[in-house]
Amino acid sequence: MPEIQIDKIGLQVGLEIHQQLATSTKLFCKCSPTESEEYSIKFTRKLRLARSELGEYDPSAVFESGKEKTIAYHGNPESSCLVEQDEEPPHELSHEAKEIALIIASALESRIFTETYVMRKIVIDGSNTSGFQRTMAVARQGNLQVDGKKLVVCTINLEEDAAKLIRDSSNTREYGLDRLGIPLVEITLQHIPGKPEDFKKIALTLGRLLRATKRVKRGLGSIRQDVNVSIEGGDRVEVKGVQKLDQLEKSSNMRQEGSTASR
Amino acid sequence: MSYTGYKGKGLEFLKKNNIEVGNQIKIYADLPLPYLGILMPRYEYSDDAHIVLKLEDGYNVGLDIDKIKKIEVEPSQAIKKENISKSKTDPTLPRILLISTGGTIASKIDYRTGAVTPALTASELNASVPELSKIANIDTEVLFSEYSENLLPEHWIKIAEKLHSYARSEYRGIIVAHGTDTMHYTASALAFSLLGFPKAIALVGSQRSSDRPSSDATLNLIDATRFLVETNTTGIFVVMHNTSSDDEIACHWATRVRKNHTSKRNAFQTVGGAPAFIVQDNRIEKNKLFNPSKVEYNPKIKFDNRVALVKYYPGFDPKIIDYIISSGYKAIIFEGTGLGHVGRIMYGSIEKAKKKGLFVGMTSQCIDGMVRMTVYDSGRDLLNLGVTPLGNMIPETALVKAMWALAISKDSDEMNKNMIENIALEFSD
Repeated sequence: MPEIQIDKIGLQVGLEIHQQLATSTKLFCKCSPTESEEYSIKFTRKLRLARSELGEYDPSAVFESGKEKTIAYHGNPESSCLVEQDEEPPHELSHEAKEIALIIASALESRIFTETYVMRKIVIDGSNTSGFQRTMAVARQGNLQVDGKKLVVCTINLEEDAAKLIRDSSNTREYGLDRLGIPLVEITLQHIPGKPEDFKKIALTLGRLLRATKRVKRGLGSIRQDVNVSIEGGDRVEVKGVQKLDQLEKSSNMRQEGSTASR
Repeated sequence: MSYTGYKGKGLEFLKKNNIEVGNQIKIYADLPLPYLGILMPRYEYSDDAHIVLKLEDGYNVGLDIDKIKKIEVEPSQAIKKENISKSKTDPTLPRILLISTGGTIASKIDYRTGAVTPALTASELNASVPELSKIANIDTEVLFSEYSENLLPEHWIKIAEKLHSYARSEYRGIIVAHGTDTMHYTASALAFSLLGFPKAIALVGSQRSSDRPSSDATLNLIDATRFLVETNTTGIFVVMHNTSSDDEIACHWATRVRKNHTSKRNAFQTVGGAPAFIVQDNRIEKNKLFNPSKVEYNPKIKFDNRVALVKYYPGFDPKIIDYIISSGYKAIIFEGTGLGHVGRIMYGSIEKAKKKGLFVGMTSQCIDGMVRMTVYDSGRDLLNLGVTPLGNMIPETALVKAMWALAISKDSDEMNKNMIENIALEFSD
């Protein structure tokens, strides 16, 4: 494969960062937001495609629906209750989570909505027992200062984390409910041109700002990036759930190769 | 024009700008770029300072009217029409009728207007649950569309008369889609008024609405259909999840079922025993103890509402009973404590009720177990006052039965006889 000259291919990257918040409860119930592998509750479900609130089917949901897997859930009574089991309507939104989301939105100099609603994002791979993720728009159009330059923060949403995948076999997929419902903020940054190391720096800066609030979770898995990569004339590719900064740099490099190869 | 939920300043603002719910709009406010989206309805009790917009990415947000600089209506995007192909019928399959009365199972939300509409037309049903067309040919009929907390004995009569009109039809069985809140009351009402119905009737509801991927409606409907097609039974059943998992469906006998949880999928339980049938993936298992005797179909579709269901508690004011008597009620069903007791403070009022010729029956607020009024003095006192012990009849079933018995009995002796006779397996000992 010929060597790629990064500055010549028109690399563009947009980051979407998911940061778990350090709250004492989950987003919609009083359960402890602690992850553990001890499970005493088990039940199985089948999810079925339902129209989104806009009356449309999400293509990735349609794809998952074709697989018709049985989904087995494992829960620990300390970290999950009937809300995570989709056996009870959500309780009141965690004020703590709302407060932290607003602090982050203010730190990113964004326009905060004075009123917001909890929405359903249809997800039927089983990672949400309900078949959708609960999410709400907190703010839009903020700024992140990186090396003196202003980068546009497009959206800041407050949402619930998904269940943790434990096993995936041909007929059954298994999830742990401990992570489901942990509050997180989703921050979407403007899609901009640059080099892989630039994006690593952006992520680093945002990560530092989030940690400076002292109210976000630390440790592996507590912050995850989705990386949207494109090059001139190529399709946009999304790499989901990048957990380490080196992986972030690698995934922008890797996706370039992928995009170049498929041109 | 539709302004659902808007009032005061908000309503005025919309009218002035000639904008209604469902319009595609463009709003210039605090950002350099405009907000694009659809105007959504507002909740009844919200303030009048915001309008709700569904943004292009699907999020709903409230925008402060005072910050709006300019608002324009955009040419409306056509909402994707549901593409429902006409379902094919297979002449070799049995026919099932689905009568819809409302509730979560039979409704869907129109996200454009926020209105909840009945959704169970045959084609919609077959489109959303394609498995059904492989089990039976399903016809549907919308009888009314009410959440079950709004149902009255008049509605039970409507449902019973509709079912009666199909008693000799060629349908193998009938599904009644029903809200879950009072489904067990309706079940009992049908069990008494349509005694001996020659087909099986399955009341089906859902605890999670059908517009969510995790809805229990799908499996409840599929397995209710299988139950009607694959078993040769008759009578009225409530058909819902047996566990929290999507693996087993329970068919509960109408007079022995109760909603015992506010939100769980398996909220309905057979009190004091196992369900009549369990529908599993590849088989349907009958409870060996469930053996209803065959009775001639003898519909008596009548109810008299003058029955009060009264839960006794420490501090209960007997004047409430006096009020019930003076308001013209003809029967009182007590939900007594323990084995079937009320405090001695009640004796005077109960005596008055009996003198006025009211039927006074005793069930237990323990829900499960038998009323035994001969064990303690207080029970014997109540028996002596003329209170009728109602065995292990569920209080709600006793209420419905009393409404029915009152309407069909010519005098208090017959009423009393009807109340203690095991007519529709309401006593399970």
